[in-house]
Amino acid sequence: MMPASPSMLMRNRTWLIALAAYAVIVVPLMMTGLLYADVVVTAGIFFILVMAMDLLFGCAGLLSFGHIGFFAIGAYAPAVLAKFFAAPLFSGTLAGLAVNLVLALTLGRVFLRLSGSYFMLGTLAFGIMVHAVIRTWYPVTGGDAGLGDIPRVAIGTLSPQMSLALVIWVTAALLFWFSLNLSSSRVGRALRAIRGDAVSAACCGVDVARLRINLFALSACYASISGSLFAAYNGAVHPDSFALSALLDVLLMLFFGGEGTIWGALIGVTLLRVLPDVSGPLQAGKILFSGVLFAVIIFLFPMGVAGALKDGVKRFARARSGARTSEAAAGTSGSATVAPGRGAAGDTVTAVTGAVGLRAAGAAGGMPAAVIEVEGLGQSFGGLRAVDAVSFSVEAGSIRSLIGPNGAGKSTMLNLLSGVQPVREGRVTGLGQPLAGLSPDRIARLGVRRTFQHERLFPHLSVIENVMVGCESGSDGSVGDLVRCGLALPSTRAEAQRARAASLVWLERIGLADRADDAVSELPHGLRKLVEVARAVAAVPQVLLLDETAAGLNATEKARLKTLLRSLRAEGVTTLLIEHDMAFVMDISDRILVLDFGRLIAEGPPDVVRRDPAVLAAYLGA
Amino acid sequence: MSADNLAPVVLSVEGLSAAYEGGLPVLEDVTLELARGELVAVLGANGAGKSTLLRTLSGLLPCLSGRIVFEGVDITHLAPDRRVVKGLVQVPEGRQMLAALSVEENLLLGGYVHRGDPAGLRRTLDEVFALFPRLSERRAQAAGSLSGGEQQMVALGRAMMGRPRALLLDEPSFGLAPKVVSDTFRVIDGLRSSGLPILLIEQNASKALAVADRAVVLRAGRVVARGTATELAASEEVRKSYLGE
Amino acid sequence: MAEFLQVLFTGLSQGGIYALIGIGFSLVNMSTRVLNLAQGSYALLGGFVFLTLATRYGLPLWAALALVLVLVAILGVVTERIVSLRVRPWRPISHDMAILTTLALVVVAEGAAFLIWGPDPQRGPALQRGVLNVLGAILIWQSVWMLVITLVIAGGLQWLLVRTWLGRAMRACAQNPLTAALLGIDVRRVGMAAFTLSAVIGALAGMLVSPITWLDYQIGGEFMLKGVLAYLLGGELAIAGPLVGGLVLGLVENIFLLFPGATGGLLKQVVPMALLIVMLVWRPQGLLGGPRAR
Repeated sequence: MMPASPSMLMRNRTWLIALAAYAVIVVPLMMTGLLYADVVVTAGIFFILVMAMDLLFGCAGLLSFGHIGFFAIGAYAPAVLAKFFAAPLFSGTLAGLAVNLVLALTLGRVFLRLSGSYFMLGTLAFGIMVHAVIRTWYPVTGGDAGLGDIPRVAIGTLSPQMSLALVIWVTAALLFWFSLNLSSSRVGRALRAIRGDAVSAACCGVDVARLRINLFALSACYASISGSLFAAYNGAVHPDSFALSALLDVLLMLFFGGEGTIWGALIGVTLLRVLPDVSGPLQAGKILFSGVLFAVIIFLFPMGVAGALKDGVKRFARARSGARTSEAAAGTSGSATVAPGRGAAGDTVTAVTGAVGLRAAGAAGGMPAAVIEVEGLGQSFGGLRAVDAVSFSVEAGSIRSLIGPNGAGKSTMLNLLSGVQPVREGRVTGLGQPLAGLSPDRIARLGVRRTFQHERLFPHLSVIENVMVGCESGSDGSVGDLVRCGLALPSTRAEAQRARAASLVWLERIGLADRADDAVSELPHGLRKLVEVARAVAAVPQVLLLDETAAGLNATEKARLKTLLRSLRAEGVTTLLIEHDMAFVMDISDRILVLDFGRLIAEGPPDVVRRDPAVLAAYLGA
Repeated sequence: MSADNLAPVVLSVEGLSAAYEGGLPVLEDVTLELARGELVAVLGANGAGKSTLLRTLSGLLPCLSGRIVFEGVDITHLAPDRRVVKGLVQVPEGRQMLAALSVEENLLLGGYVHRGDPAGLRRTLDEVFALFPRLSERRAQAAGSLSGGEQQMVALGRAMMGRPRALLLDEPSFGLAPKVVSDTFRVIDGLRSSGLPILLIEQNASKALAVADRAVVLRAGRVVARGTATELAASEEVRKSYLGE
Repeated sequence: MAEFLQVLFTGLSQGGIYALIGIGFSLVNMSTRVLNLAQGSYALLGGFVFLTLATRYGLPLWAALALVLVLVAILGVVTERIVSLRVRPWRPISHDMAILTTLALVVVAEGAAFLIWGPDPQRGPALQRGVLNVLGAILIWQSVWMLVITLVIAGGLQWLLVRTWLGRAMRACAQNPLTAALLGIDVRRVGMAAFTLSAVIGALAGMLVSPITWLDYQIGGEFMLKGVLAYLLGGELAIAGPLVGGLVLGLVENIFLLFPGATGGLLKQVVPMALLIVMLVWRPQGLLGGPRAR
């Protein structure tokens, strides 16, 4: 399946520990006959299916109801091929994979363009349709009677049953390993970033659409493999295994574990497989039972049982270390002026940002002096002219401020420059090439990074992980990147370590190194805006767009921001910033643009703008 | 509460703290009073907690501690729509048009709480149209297609349809041309003169202080200065350190 | 010609049922942003209770119908309470949790129906038996009623949305629930009204279709699928979207019967999905438009 040398498998140990713990619990139960071997083997099959859903939901926040369909196709492919062509199990599995891959890429392309709820609806429609097709297409699928006589495989002298059990759990373990690698890699970070804020992720360079489609396809492959193993193990397939209530059972297993808590899914899967497969009125009771159980779980533990446990432990730990944390917080504000360890960090910063210095030197030589050129830019919302025929250019290595009353079109301007809103009127040239029509992630990868007026950090990532996403430019979402990260190749691991080190340096530079592993929600508003700046500059961009970063910062933090911006300017970074704090603007800007009612009403150095009568009337209101 | 030589307090906020769910407090221990016929401005930079204050007053955010009393009734934990029924009406930031609905429907919905009195509603609607003749011309047009100034008129008219006993205004100058801002402030001044108590959230300090009787300045969620509008406008220190001028 | 008319009419009347379910989706979604998958379950339960009351207990049809509508209205309210129990103005509904909860309700309804009415399909009583001959096409009276009632309900709801305070409040919530609350609209009560209405409409669909499509315990999921498809196809105009979507879906499903040698079964399952995919590629906003893409 995948070339995985033993040493590679050992590098990330979480999967081994989880599986070993599972074995320690389950094997004695099996020995004593309390747990049927059958339960454990089918648990392995469903574990793969739940992992498939968890890859999507836990990382990307996408809930797919269509996986029961991929699972069904994966199961029916070997059965149908065996019946009509006497094909061996393996080729049936491959056929199922191929069909599912094509379907997933098609469905993904269509449904992932829809917003969350519609994605669920679309995949649900697909899942129900597959079940309906299986029931009605009886010449091929056997209809309500199902298909039997699926070929058995045997490894060496092992019995077919035992061989399959082995294949199932080895496959499950490998896929588990792959999932965990993926989720702790830059791909996983990019996915959790998208989950929290797709726009902001794109502005960090994540190719949101491609990454999600490829992840959807990968996840469908998991489901397909799980389906084929299911068919092989049972020796027969029946439509009831893929009905709506079966989908609910799988969701139940997923939510028992809780989103992103794969080991929880392992427990959920096993517990739910203990429930016997029944028919007749008992089946009705079982359906009813799982419906009610699911409703109760969703209701009482929106984060899943395992998630709730984890949260409880965390809260308990925090309650115990509460005193320590508040001390640390006091320490943070005190350290603002002292900045311990500055010297060592400073060296690394030079190393990290050296590249920009080179680029700035290049700019002096051949590149155009203006890094951003805007010509006749316009944007309307309904009857509002948010931006109206604005032209300006920003020279390389300078700090330019954009000021104007609230709603004058400043943020819209930044959205147009960063590709968040498509440019419909006028021309935008950045770094010597036209930016209009480029997606935000392309613009970000060119070296134009931004922050947002209302801070848009990724809530599912820690402080340093937020900065790392910026530093790594997320993920380009290609199949190659998914595979590299899933296999945890040495090169990707080294990259991740470098990104972590560089991110830590940036955090150091804004005075937040000691809060690197905190959740972003634990930071006060002002510091979050500084983290956003760190995320934007961590990729060492050529152009930095800041939207009201100083708002909500106290005097010390503002001073720190000023120092940072000035040193970035010295390193050749061009900054365009929106700000209301006039003292800040007048102090730091090389030149100032004044927007009012979407129009550019003044431009010039601070001293000139300060005295401009139009500016005084519109904004400063003297 | 108030000494008997002062106008009776309509809205009183005592020690209010508020936070977004799961976050740190954005508003801490804010106390202010709004008396009959008075216009109080709440000033501060973006991110100082002005909008949070208004959201808490209108019930869109939970109150962590403190009390909100409106016309003698504790409304601290009342649902947003019940506060409107009591007469505490808000004009939200960015005007919040119901974009697909017509101008007339927007205005009518402003009078939702008086839907049992169609005749009275008609009368108020005519008054609003008399005040903003432009809206009368565009009554069938989708509100989303109006210009910023016209949307501001709809927002104000919609609030008046609710026959407010106190008005909360969130950044009425947001995104408006200077001339439209002046017009809007003229309307606000007119409303104040008619005796309507108004709490005005505004970033444009000079415009706000020109119409306000009193003002409070917020910084990082706390009240850092308060006084009459003339006092604050004159205070060099307040202008410099808190209003970013 | 007669054959064509026949297919056209069958398609439209079946599409009417899909439209009713889709309209229920649309009403609830516009008022509360919840996609209520249990929409098909109202049809399932409504249909089963109706046929039980009418055939086993011999109630007159109108009485059975009235009783079912009352019961289902209560179900609608209960659904709303379950879905939005934790909702506060500052804590909007979690779409994932809401959709999962309603999915659980679908399965609960399925299990309950299995337990009470068993696994075998059952047939409900028709409002009017017999057939009608139009230009050589044979139309079942029940189908005629299905189509008529669909159109009447759609018209009535359109009137409700435009002319009444409840309708205005629903449209306000559809635009922006927070602004609606600031205008004094009790957003929760509007949501409850939407759930009640949609439950009643769903049950009507189930009762109307039960003499033609026999009911079994799994049909809630099928109804839901058709409603979802109608809703996705049509676009976000509150009533007209799912109405057109449902009718188109019904027509497309049946049109294949015109081709010689075509058997309805399989195509009926695959074609709607294919239609949806083509549709979403070609016009992500649905036939009648409205913003939907991210």
